[in-house]
This record gives sequence, C-alpha cells and structure tokens, in this order.
Amino acid sequence: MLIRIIFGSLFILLAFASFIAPIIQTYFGYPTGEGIYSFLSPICHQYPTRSFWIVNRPFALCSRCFSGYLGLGFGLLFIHQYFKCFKNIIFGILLLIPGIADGLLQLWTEYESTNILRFITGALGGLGVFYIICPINFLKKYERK
Amino acid sequence: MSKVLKCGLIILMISTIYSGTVTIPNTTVVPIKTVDQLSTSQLTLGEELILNVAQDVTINGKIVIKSGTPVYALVQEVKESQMAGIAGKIVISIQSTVAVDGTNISLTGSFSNQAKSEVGSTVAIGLILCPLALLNKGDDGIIPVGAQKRAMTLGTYDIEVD
Repeated sequence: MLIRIIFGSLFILLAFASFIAPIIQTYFGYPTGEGIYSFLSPICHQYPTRSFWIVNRPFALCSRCFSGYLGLGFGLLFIHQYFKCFKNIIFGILLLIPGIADGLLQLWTEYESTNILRFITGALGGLGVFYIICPINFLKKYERK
Repeated sequence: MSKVLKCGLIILMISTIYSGTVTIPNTTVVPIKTVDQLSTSQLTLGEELILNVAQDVTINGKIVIKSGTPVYALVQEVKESQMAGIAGKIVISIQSTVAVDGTNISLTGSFSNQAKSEVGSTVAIGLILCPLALLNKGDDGIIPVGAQKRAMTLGTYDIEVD
C-alpha cells in the first residue's frame, strides 16, 4: 500500500509540475521554470501545439502525457481492483487501445487529433497501465505465500 | 457633403476600434516546427534554414504572429558521424520571424539532436572480435519533419493589428 501511495503521489506530482512550470515562468520571469521543462523533456516530446496552454505558455508535458500520469497516479492512489489478475490485464489493454489508435492514426494518416481527445485517451491509457502493472503485485504476493 | 463626412467619420471610428497597437512582451512563447527533416549529413555550419511558426501567437485575443509564418534559423553546430561509432550532432539556432504587420521579431531557442554513441561497443568488438568493426560509422544526428520547440521573443515589440 505504501508503495502505491509513493508512486501514485510521484505521478500526480509530475503532472502538477508540468502545470506549474508555465505559471512560475510567467510570474517570476524567464528562465525560472525552465528547469522543470528540462527535467520533464526526457519523458515527453513537449510539442507546444499538442499541449494545454496557461498564461500564454504551454504545459511542460503534452496533453496526452499530462493526463496519462494523472490517470496512473489517480489509479494507484484511489482505485481498488475488484477484478482478478487476468481480467485486470485484459481491462488494462482495452483502456490503452483508444490512445494507441489515436496516436497511430496521426502517425500514419493526415488525421490530426485535438488536445481534448488526447487528454481523454491519455487518461484512459494511464488507467490502463495501472490495471496492467498492478497484477504484478498480486503475483508477487502469491509467490511469497 | 455632410453625409459623406459623417460616413467617413463612422468608418474611421470603426477602424480605430477594431485595429490598434498590441505589445508583444519579452519572452513571449512562439511555437516553431521544422518543415523538412534535418540531418548532419545534409547540413553545413552556418547554413540558413527556414522553419515555420506552428500555431498563431495571440496577445489579448489578437493574432500578432500567424501560423505558418517563416522562421529564420542557422546551423549553429554540426558534427558528422564518423568511424569507430562516433555519433553525429546537430544544433539549430532559431533567429527571427515576422509579425502580422511586417515587424521583424528576434527569437531565441534551439533544436538539437545527438545520435546515440556506439563508440564503446564498436571499440570493444573491434578489439576483441574483428578490427574491421572499427570502420562502423555512427548514426547521423536527425531532427524529424514536424518536430516542435518553444522559441521566445527577444525584446518587446509594438505591433499594428487589424
């Protein structure tokens, strides 16, 4: 449980940092906040047109990553799993499909997604990852027994 | 005659309401995107490049820099990939763009890419298995088409908008 709280808080913190970076930069002036952008750059492309904007600056994570980390953090902190291990994985994969489809369609066709759609599919994907990774804990518990 | 004068006055009032000067503050974010793939094998140091503004820049709801406006950039650093797995590196420095009224806007920002170095593995294989492995060339530094970056304005500019 403690591990879930630690990791859940960490993922929520990542999303919060990406939200606070543009606000810090606006109110304290450039280059304040640039450290957060640099810190988050290895985990996200940070394309400005694919990010939410606040106070005329983009978030430090794109809308899909932002909601993905929120979804994963929310899942770890608040969701109790009722399904059994295999069903969890299937449910997780189903939740990941919209995000993957949205991304691949953009890559392969002229279709351009919207930030709202990226946010929704990202959040579902984050929850999906949560449902996929959590059975690992269950398996470890069974192994110990 | 008075009617013409009145009409002229009304047109003048309407045009002053809907047009005016907007100030672009220092360090305003301008999203920039590449229009071609940029590779260390194609570029030379100091070469001028044209990039694009990726989305409209608006101040107080008025567009001051339109999406698709050309952005001028320079190749600031280019290292070609070499034998022994040495990777290529590319740094593109963003220079300036043009506002809706034609004002030149200086920008700061850069695109960069360094391919993953293969020196360690190439030298190890070259020494242990076959010296010919040292002829292995590293990967080029590549910035893909459509890649985006945040550039920022340098200085404040008063822009005439419609």
